Amino acid sequence: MAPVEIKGLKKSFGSHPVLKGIDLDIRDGEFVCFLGPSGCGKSTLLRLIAGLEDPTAGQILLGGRDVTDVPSAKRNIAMVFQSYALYPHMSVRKNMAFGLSLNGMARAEIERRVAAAAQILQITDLLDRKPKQLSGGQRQRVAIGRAIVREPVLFLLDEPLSNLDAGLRVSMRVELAALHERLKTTMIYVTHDQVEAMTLSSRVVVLDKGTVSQFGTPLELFYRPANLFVAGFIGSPKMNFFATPSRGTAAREITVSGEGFRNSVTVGLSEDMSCPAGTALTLGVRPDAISIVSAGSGHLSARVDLVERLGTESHVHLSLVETGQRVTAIVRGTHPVQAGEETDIRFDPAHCHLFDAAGKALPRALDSETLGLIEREKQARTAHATKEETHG
Amino acid sequence: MRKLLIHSALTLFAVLFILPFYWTFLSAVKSTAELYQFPPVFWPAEWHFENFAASWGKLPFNTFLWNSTIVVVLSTIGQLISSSLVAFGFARYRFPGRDGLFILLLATMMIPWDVKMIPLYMEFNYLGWINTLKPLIVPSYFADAFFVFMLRQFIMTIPLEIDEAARMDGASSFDIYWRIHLPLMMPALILVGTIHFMNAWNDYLGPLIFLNDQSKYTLTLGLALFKNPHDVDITAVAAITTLLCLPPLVLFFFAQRYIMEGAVGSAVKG
Repeated sequence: MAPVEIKGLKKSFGSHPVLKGIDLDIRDGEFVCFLGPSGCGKSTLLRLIAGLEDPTAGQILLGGRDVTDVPSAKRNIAMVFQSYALYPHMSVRKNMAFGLSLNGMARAEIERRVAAAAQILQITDLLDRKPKQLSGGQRQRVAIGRAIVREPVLFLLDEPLSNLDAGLRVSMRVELAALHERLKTTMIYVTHDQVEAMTLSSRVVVLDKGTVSQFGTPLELFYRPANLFVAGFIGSPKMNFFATPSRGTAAREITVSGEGFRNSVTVGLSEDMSCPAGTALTLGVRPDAISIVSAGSGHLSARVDLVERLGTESHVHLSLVETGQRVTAIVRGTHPVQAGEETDIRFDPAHCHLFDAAGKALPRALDSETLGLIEREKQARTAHATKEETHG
Repeated sequence: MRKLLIHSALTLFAVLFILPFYWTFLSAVKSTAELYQFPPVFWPAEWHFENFAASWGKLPFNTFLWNSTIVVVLSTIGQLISSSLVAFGFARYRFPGRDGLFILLLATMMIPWDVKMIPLYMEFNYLGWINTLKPLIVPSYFADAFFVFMLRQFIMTIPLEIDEAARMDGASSFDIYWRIHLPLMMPALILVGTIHFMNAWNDYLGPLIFLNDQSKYTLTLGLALFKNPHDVDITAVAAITTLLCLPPLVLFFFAQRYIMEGAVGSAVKG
């Protein structure tokens, strides 16, 4: 087990910068996800930590040791690849033992480790099969087994579940969480699936265009996104944004209103902020903080374009009458709204976010229940990591 | 009807291809009288299978066979190792000028052997290799452009992530080549080995130029000894030719599955 420190890490391919200076401090025993859209640099960052790419600048420290120029084989890191990357001509047993035998480990010890990993992953009866005789889920287990037997200080997982079908992905996700709980090794997991990131990780690194947009616990990302990108990326359907200049400030609150707004919206802040009237701000409202109300009684008038009925909830896609902007709302499954209707939408100010002209979030006030939840999650993560350090 | 036409055409071509082999075999086992008979005899009255042993004994064919075996085995090993190594380099290493170098390598395929014959003779003469088997073996240890191209294409179908997984497992570049790529390349290597085996086994011009003593002759040169300006021993030529055809035929029989796979290439590789 080892903490991972990344300092000023940059990577360019030719003249194209992929990572523009990454600083991260991952604690011992943490399960951290790198989350971001395609091309944001998350896989490149993982490959740099693995030693499969050389950084253009910066440092990578593993357990306090600078490993920036250390070959990947000597970093004591194991990686699980998206395509599993099993050796097709070797049996499962040989796949798992390959790295150990290369390092000259005694045969008895290799067999002990392979048997132990196979038992954890419930693949003991598959040990003599070739990869082509295995299903996708079984191959994934073997790939994880190959990583486990090496008893590395750090696991790197590059979108390991993306090739599995939806059902298997959910069960493998649960197994991965259990595996982390059991092995208590630092794990870094790359994904573009926010559900995986939110459910598995103790902390999530949200990457955008080669920079860290936010590094925090899943609930922090959801309830206190640091900027417009994180606010738009975390949560499905996406947060709705409205250009709403400031109409004035009071103690720990800002009132905003935009084009077509029938009423202004007053958003609570966690601290006093000076924001003169007319300052460009963006109002962010998650779909579940929007209600559909009768015409004339909400903040904005809208036309219902489409209603997606999912059972327990319905996703309502609307166009604002004044600006034509698209808005998504989540209502209860039995809500009678229908496509083609003219209606009004109303925002719940307690669940609204504000962002300045640079896209940076203003510190919003949270209710005590949400604050308590975030705090409990933080404490659980800290306690877990501290426990790992004590074990280590 | 369509099927019948296809099968008829295929049978016709099969007969066309088999006929020369059958004719050579017939010539080997016919009596001398039947050999020159017209119209030709397609089913001899007597089968003279003893012609094979008799022809083999007329000249030191055991020596020729030994020489051919040494040349074929050693050069095939060399070709497999060198071509696969070079192909691995071109497929997996990034270095400045790689693509230009690869095109240069491919361009060498356009130079006919006849053009290189005299410079090669001068080179081997300088090295003191004339009248030894070395000129027929050693060049195979320096890779062949066509085989390098074929193996490189095959290696490029192997996902790079497998190399990276091996590297993380602690494998060196040579480990990756030796323990991962060589076993995975087996179908392509069998194809390369078979083609090279046939080329080396049937090679006549190379041994003719570089070998002088009869004790160094390969089978193809030995076979040519049955022909002189005044006479050709047709039965012996046919008998030895029939025997010479057997090793490539047997090899092809066992390797045909891989040869077909190799020919179809990466398009169907799972």
